[in-house]
Amino acid sequence: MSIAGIGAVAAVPLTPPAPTPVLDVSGANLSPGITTGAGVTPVAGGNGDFGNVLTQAVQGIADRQGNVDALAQQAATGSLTDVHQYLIASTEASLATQLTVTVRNKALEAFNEIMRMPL
Amino acid sequence: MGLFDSLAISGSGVGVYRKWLDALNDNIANVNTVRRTSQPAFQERFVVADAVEGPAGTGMGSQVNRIEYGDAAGRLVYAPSHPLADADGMVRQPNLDLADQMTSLIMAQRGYEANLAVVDRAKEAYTAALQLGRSS
Repeated sequence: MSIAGIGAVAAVPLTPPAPTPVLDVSGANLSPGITTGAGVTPVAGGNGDFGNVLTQAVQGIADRQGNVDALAQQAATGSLTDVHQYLIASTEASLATQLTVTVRNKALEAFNEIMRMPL
Repeated sequence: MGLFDSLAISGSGVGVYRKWLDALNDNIANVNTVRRTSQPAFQERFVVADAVEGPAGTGMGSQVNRIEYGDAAGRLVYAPSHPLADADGMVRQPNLDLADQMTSLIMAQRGYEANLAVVDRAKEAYTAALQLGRSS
């Protein structure tokens, strides 16, 4: 259950193209049938699980960094047409990196919390 | 819709104003360009900007569609000693008003700065949202 919780946390900000996880979350309103108590089903369908989400996010960072690298090269060689393009791209890459690292830290925190659970 | 749309939108605005600045600089650089009366005068450059429509009615910034050109007739100036002067001693100069160009230049510069200020604010907002995830 808690692993599904991690998947849900990560699935919200990082997968722009797939609206299905959001629908799944609202589909959890099916829980009027929650009389059994343990009936919470994991939402981790398709690309929803945390590993895939993190991989996608890292891939997105790599793409942005590659974009910034190309622009930096243009700036160095003098073929850059727009100064702001470079700076905005680097801002975007930095923000995306911070976002992914924050999400990863949060997930790790949750995992450590579980590991600290006395058995 | 992407993850950092605010940055992309205001970036497109910066690009439009940058092109306007370029056009104005071109006009100012050519304010004294003299041609023969048999040739067209230097034509003032006008940048035509338009909105970029995004999906579902959201705007995605602006872009430069095309460049329009001003009056090719210019004005005829009497300069008999000029090497380009015709038999009547006339040369053709562009019909440009320097004060007009400078006023537009101020507007373009302020627009450029305003869009960069929006970039800054968007960055601040995203950074503030990231604070939500920071562990204390």
